[in-house]
Amino acid sequence: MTEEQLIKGCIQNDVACQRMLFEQYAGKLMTICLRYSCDRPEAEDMLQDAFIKIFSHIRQYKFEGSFEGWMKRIVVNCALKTIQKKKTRFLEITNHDTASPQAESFALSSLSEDELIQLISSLPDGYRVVFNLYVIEGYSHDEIAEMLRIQAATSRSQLVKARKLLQKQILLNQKIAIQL
Amino acid sequence: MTENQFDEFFRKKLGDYSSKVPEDMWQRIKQKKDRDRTFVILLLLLLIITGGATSYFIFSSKETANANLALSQKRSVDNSGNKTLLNKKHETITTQKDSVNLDHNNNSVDVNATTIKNGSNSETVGEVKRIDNKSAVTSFSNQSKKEIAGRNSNVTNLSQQNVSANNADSLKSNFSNKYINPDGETALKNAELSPSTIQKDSLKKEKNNKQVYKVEKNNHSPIINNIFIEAYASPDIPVSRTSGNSAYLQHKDSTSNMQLSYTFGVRVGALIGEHLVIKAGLQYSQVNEKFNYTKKNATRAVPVVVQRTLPDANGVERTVLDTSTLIQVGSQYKLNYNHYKSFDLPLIIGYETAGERYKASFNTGIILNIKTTYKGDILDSSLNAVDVNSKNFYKSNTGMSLYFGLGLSTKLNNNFQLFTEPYIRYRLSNMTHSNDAFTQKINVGGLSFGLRYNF
Repeated sequence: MTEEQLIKGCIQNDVACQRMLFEQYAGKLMTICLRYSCDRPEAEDMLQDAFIKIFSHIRQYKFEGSFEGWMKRIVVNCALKTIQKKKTRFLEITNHDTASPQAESFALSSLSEDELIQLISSLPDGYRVVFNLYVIEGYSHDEIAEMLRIQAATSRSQLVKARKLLQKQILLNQKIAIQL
Repeated sequence: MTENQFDEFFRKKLGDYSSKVPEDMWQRIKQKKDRDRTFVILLLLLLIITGGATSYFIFSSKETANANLALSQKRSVDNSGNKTLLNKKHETITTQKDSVNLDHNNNSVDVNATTIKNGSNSETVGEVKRIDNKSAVTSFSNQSKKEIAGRNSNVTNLSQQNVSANNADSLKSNFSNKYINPDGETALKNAELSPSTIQKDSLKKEKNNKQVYKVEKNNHSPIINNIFIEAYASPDIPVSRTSGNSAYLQHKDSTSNMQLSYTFGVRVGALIGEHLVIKAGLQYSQVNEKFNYTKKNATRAVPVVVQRTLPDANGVERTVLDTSTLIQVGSQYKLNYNHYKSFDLPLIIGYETAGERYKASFNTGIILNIKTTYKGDILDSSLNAVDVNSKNFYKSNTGMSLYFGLGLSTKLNNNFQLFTEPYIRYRLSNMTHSNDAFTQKINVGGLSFGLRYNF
């Protein structure tokens, strides 16, 4: 079954098609949810809401552009809504120390995808959201500012802080691994 | 490792990575989907039923109860002005004076299985006059009428079961007369009065200044009394409610102004019982918006061609065209009228007062959007004017709205009614997609004018 047939089946509320669509994309979309959530149960709730939204709004997909991209955008929006409900505060940087620990490439390459997701999940909400939107989703700071209703400068500072924290965490993990 | 390399590493690793999904996730999604659908259906049903039941039972019951007069077996009616007593135990009404005067508002009198006893020697005449499907007029007087046999000092039992009313203007009743001996013993005797006899009695009694009482059958069964079709049109005043990024909204609000809009449509309806009205139809609404866009420091490229005549090496003059581009800086103005067009399905339930010539009504219900289209310009996130459809800001189906209206109508003739109805249409959901930089709802207040044709 082609993707177009699958989508058309979902538009007609065909449960078999919906199931196939779920099985095909659930893993990738779960990764997005895990990246934006602070724990797994929250990610599962996000995924559940996202799929319900996908099925109920699938008529709006006009077969223009990537369907996967369209779904990913819905998942990201669901995630942002969940985070906004938590009233996330985007704190400005108070530490002006520009020298950040640089994680070596070998330290990074030794990390698995699940470990990277775990590292991102451990970031504070504000840092995590901006990092995901900028680094993985590829939005600009202006777009992020508009989406999150914050200043573009705040978005930049959140990203810098997020990178710093991540690198610090990677180095720390590396040291622990060497000690072990 | 640079920031870019760091970012690139994360992007590559996680961009297409598939995480493990819980095995029961599909079941959870399916259950929630079904639950949501059931909830929406139940909510709709509840809204319709509650609206209908409330309108019908609160308004209709009160009016009907006030208007009805029925003899009740379990109530005693003491009419002091005329010294009439409805004896609860014996289910009799004793008339000691000339006539019976029953309070229509306070007494519920059930004709069924009720006897009327004339305590004096005067004679009692009972008549039932039908005035509409559900009501009848009963007159009691002490005028002697020999057409009714054996009524002196007797008790007359008016049996509602025998009352047949087929014509609004004729008196058609059957009376089962029950005779009671002065010592209290009851003897049964049935006497059937023909409609013509009763009519004669009625006319005679009217001449003798008798009192007339209305007795209505207490019938609440909702029956369709009238089916009608109505066409209407309304000038509307739209009210836009937006939320979102404040900087964007500030620019959007300064460029867009709601304008006078309109709605027209056709509805088919039915009058159920005395007052309850249900309507369904199809309507078209257009919301107009003035889009006045000014962009300062706008630039435009103007091609400039300069023609020169130069002598070549042989001294022959040749024409040379120099083409260049001139960048002009200035303000760009754009004036456009945006149109938001929607086709809707109104489902209305209402309460209508009973009036011969003028009627008032209260209507409420839902308006389900079938399709909405948009035409015009809007600001994008960079505050540039773009086609409203290019960014897919708005939904093609805007969902459900609530409707509230207060109507007044006047009868033109037996078939036609003219009506006017100020109304409010309140949207329950946003017209914009949830993932947009802003959300917008356009609520509408209007004044409908229409014509109703009663079948």
